[in-house]
Amino acid sequence: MKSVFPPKPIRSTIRSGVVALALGVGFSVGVGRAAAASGSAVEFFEKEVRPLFVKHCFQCHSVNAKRLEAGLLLDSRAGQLRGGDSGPAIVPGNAAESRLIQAVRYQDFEMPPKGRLPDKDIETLSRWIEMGAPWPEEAEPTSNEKRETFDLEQRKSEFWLWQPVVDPTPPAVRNAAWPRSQLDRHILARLDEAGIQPAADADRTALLRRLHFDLIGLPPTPKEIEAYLADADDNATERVVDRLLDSPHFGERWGRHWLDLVRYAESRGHEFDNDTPNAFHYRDYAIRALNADVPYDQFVREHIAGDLLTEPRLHPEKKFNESILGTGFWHLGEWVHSPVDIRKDEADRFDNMLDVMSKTFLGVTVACARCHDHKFDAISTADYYSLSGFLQSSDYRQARFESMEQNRQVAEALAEVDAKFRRRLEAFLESRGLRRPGPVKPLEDDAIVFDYAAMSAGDFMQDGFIFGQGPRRAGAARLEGGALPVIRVERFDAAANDLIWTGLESITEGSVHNKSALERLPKSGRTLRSPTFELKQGKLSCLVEGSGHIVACVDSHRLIAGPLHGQTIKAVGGKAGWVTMDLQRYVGHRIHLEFIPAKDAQLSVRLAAQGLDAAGLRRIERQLDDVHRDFGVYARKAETILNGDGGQVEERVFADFESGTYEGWTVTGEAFGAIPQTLQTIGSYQGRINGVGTWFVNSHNIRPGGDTRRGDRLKGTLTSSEFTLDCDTVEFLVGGGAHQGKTCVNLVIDDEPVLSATGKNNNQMSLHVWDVRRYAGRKARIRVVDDHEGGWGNIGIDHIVFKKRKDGQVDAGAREIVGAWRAERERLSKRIVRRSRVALAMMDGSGEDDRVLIRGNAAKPGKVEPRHFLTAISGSEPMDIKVGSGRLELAAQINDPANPLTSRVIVNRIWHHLMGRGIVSTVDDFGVLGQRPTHPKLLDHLATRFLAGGRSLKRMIKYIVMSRTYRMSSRAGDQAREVDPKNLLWHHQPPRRLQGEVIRDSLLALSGRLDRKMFGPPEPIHLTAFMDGRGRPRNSGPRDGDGRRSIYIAVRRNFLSPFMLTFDTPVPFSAMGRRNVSNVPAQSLILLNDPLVVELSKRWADRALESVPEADITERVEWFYLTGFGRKPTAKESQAAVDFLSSGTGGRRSAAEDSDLWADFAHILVNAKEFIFLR
Amino acid sequence: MTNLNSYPCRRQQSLPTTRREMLAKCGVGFGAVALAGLQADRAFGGDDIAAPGSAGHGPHFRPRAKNVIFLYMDGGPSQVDTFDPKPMLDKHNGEDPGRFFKVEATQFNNNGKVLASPWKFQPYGAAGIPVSDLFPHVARCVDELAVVRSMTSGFPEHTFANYFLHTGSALQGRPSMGAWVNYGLGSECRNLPGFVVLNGGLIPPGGLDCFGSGFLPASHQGSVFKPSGTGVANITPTESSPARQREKLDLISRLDSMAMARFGRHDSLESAIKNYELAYAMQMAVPGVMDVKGEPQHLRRAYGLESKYEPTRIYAAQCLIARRMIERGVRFIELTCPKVGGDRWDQHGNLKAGHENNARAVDQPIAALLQDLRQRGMLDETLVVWAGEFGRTPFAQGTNGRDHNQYGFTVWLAGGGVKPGTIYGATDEWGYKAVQDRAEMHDLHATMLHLLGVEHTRSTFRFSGRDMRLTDVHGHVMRDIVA
Repeated sequence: MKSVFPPKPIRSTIRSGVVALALGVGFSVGVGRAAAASGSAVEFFEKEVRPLFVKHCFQCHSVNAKRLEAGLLLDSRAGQLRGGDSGPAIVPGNAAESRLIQAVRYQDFEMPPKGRLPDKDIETLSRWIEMGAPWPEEAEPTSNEKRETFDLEQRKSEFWLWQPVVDPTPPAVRNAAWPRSQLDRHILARLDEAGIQPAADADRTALLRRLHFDLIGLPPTPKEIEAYLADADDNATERVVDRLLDSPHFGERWGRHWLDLVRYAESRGHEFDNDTPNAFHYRDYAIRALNADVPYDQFVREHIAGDLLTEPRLHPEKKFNESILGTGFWHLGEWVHSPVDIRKDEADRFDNMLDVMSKTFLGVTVACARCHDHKFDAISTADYYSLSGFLQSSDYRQARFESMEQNRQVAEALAEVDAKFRRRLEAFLESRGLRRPGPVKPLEDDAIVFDYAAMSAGDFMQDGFIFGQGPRRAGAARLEGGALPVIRVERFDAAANDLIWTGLESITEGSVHNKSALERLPKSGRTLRSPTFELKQGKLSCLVEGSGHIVACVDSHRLIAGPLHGQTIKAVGGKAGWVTMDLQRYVGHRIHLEFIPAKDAQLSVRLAAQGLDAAGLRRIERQLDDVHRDFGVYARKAETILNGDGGQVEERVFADFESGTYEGWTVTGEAFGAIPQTLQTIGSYQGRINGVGTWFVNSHNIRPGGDTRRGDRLKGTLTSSEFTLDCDTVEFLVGGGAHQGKTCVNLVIDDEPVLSATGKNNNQMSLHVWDVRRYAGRKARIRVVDDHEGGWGNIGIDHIVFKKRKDGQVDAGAREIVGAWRAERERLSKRIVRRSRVALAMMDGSGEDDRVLIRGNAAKPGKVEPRHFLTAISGSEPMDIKVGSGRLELAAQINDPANPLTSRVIVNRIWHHLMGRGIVSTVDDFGVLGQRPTHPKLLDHLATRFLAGGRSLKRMIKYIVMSRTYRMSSRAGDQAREVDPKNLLWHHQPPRRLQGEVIRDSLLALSGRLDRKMFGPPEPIHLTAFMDGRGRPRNSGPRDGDGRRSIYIAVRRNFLSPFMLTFDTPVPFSAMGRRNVSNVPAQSLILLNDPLVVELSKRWADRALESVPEADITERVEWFYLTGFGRKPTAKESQAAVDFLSSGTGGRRSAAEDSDLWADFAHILVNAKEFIFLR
Repeated sequence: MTNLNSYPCRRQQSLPTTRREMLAKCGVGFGAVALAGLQADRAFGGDDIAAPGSAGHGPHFRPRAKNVIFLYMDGGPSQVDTFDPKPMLDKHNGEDPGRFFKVEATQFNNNGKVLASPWKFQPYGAAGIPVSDLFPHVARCVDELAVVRSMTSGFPEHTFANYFLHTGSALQGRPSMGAWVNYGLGSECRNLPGFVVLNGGLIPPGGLDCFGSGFLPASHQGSVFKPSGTGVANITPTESSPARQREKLDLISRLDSMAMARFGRHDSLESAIKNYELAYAMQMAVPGVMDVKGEPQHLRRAYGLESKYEPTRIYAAQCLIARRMIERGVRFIELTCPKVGGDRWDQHGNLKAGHENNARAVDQPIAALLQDLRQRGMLDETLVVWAGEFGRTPFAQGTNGRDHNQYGFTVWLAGGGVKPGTIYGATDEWGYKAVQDRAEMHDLHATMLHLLGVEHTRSTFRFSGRDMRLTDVHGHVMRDIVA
């Protein structure tokens, strides 16, 4: 058994000798071989020590152990020195350093596991080790049983799966007329060998129904059936197949198969079942991709690394980034809301992500190698941790996939524009004799963990574009302000967001509940990410300016709502300076920081340092000030030249209502009440409002004394006294309704509004600026108007400020450059897409290799394993990764045509869905514990054809359904049944029970209730009284899911649909390529007694009464059979139906008009087996 | 080639040959849904009891217990306030625990002072086992109990710990122990589910997946019953009369037999057809077992059905229905706690009031259940297990609560081959960590299976490239509590 720790150096044999002498026991200490111990030392060992080993340790740590634990043998001195997975057990002469002693003291390991040894015994063991661990000369015990060794190369060479895909020669068959394609020859040749005749072709109605359900999951309509039966052309079937493959419902049917693989769900499960926000975008992505027949290698690439593609696939009409949505699959797993042990939780999540990835794409169980080399397959523990490195280097985010591509172009253009004008301004300043100081060397200090003054391009990472292409450099010019542009010159290097991106809005839809403190931060497209580093000290300080949040991500771990003590989130506000986080709990972890500016605010970050006290922080700051002094001088002089007087602006607060009265204002109507509002009077449900000071104005007058019931309906105005416009701009905070001219703030001149502003249907106020220079000298008033009664019938205002640029002399040359710069930036600003929906996706981080965790234990990291793909496929050399995670390189390995797994696995999945059983029946496990392929050559034939045919899933599906094999009848011949009872050779097409989703969708279709609308946020799940527990959604969805197909019904982990579960829809926890087909009475009880089934049956009957209005019972029965079973009834079936329909009526109305009777009949057909089985 | 049989978790399975095997093995059922676990067919049921030594199925040796009633104490009752008295807490009440031992990280990390128990302990019964004043009724049955004071869990969060307690794994989606027991032994009952959850009102954190069948066939999953009304979903016919339903079923059956001619003969179809007659029978059986009105007055009173406290009445009904289900052969019954207004046994604050309410709800009904089973001679064949997902800290959270503690806590077992009147294992002098005969969750599972005659290492199911079992690769039977 290999040891992953290098042996610790033996400290000092001399010291041991001294101890031994002091004890009066003389012996020499040999390293790695038995010491020639003295008689008394041996006696001590035999009497006191060995019995302890025998009693407490040998059950698990000897050659006779039933199961050797941790690869550790304690029954010989050599074994103890060699040690186990965690390294040597003993360091002779040094008890404190010996793992054996640490373990029995319960410091590190806790051994023996059943309970701590008495102190006396621990003392004995310590003493023995201090003596040098004397042990008599004896042969190392050997076991009768040979222990397995892990030999990856041998396993690889001996197992079929790892061998290359070889295009087989088509076999010879006896009946050359039967096969339609090579596929059929492979099947028929094996049947020939066994002497079996294939079943007859299925009749056309059976085939049509089979095709409809297999390809789109909905029954054929009577019209479609009649058209097909009437079409005698040879190509009739092919035309049906093409029509179905082109149907938008194809993606819904096969998308559901795919969602089973990626454990798709829209909540996190566990204690509170929090949302997985925007998961449905992944579902929609999968449906669209399947409908568009995206080549499978591209589909795989998008899943693994869609965020990293330089040319992402765009939605054909909406032009948003499709590729990045594929990466959402990584993050669809369960999440714990507040794990105590983050590292362990992280390891568990990675385990699930790798498990799903490897089963889905590769059909192997890589996760089995988390704790030990795979017991059966050619997959090592090193392979597992080499793959987890890709995840350690990647992060979760909610990506602005709609605005991403357009804004990327804007960002690039913006960088060019800014650089151009910076150069021009610098040249201009030089022409005025002001030269920019040379760059300063970044500080060198061990405490600094990262410094934006010294950041390499690869380490500068962000989600979005607002932090520009890199940190701002000392001495560089920056344009600020809108109507009153001002040039600022940087005093130091820092990463800071550009306010041109103000107003980004990220849309999350369909949320049920989410306690996440993190999701509420405006992160999407607005996050600066530091490089990853090791936290060595509990105190971590960042030198920042502005307002926003700092989030510490420990081990790249994403918390939902925790930790409950909140130490990893820190709010930043106000002046420049140090912000310190207490991360004591996470010392020793690898972490990175995320910086998120507050909404519409500025945040700049210079550097972070760990372990410094106040004096240390002051020292760093002093050093920074010293080296940047020249830049301070340069910046002041430059700003004076460029802004005239340095860009000073005079401000006058016109009104902020802090007197708590409307003094100086005139009120009409009831909406504004008698005095302004405070947060206490407006009602806590309105949120923070964002006012300045305590008082603000809002016409949602429901405060005590106001009318709480009438809310939005109140109207009124609030008008200021008259003033003379002598400023450049009027700026104020405004919120409330967005009704133009109805809920608004107006600038009124001569009783006419000349400028008007509204809210955004949101009472959180934001800044609005009027440029009033063209009205200079006019008399004016400000009037706040509420003239709207419906939703958002209110308006709010606060903190009205008049601003005026101080007069000064600005050089005409400078003014021209600044003006042109401003114009170009404004042009770009208009191109920014500010509103975007977001979806879960990957984000690349620092390239990090993971450590092997000994026995999978997150508390016991071993050696670093560089990132690479499975050794058995491409060797264990570190992958050549230029920057970041390397997922793109990983995707290339998975897609490599020489990789024998990927193409075999996907064609086998298709075969499984169409033929009821895979060629490898264990579709997610092609390994030793899985089943062997029944037709290995056929599998390779399909894989070869798939690769050669552009990896088109639709073409492969068509190839299979056009085969004669697929079209066989479900009736097996007696002789065939005798020879091959399990149908392993496929002599007939086995009848297949429909999935829960298909049963429900069929009922909807037949009842006329089906809403064919595609995509969008999930339909809420209908909650029964038996669906209870924490996180139960507040509102139940309608029983019939509003008629939407089942794939659009909410998948909440802790509240899964009982209907679906009973019919074997998998619980979303791991890749599940093969559903169970169980047979339990609950299925019968649902079809018999579930109110939804009864209701939809009745609607089906209502449709029958409408569609076949004639009072002809047999004709109506025929219609039922055609819609429900895709065929006409036999005479006997028809007669049985007529008997039932006539006997039940008794003396009542005639059967033809009794809708209850027909509802009963419809219900009977739903319960007939043909309804839920494919012929 | 690797020698497959040298690994302990390895068992070869050939492709299924019979319909029964096909159903049992290809069947991979999921989640907990009302009534999915009804035993349709002997395919999933009693005749699966195979000869000792066959893979997956027991019993492997003589069973001591036939059924299990699992009294799940949701939220984690405090060991030092119930069955594990610690005088040191009184002695050092209000002192800083860090002076005496290393305080591990807790979920809220709002750790306070050493907190003495607000309840007094007294020895009870011939065995003199101490019980606190929280459980005056159970205290009188203490000679039936084996009290395990050294239980540990790997997880200090509710959901992880719940999955661990219920399924032997902290991950979502694994089979619950009730499912494993039914998988291993089959059901003795044809018209009731083999694994029933009587939901008193509190579904544990982690949700219905605590009762799922995971990768085992759906027939093994827990059926969630309410202890009132029809009990379970879709059990009431929608037809105007039973006769009408019978007529409909007859036509369904006729049409099915005609359709069989088109399909050819197939096991899957035949089974689906047979299902309907069973479903029909269950519509009768379920209301019967739920109806406790016929129980004698003295028993109703003893259980607490007439208690003034509503949660006691609810739990009393759960306990009484549990006994009725045992009588009808339901293999595994779990009782969840009723709502008591505050929180489950999860007193991060207000320990006194919270624990008192929770204890008041369950104490009398549990004692009545033990006595009733004893008097009917059923206790020897019924294993009763009382356990929460973890215990609580001996020091305070804030000032008057206790945080989660997975390092040492108490569970007890009774009946079904358990050695009565025993105390097993011990925590340290603070009641913080188990130090003697430390027991893991896997050991509890191994012991329960052992009492049922199942060798836990031999009850396996192939999934995801491994032979899975309830005890994963762990577990030792606690032989000292086996009679």
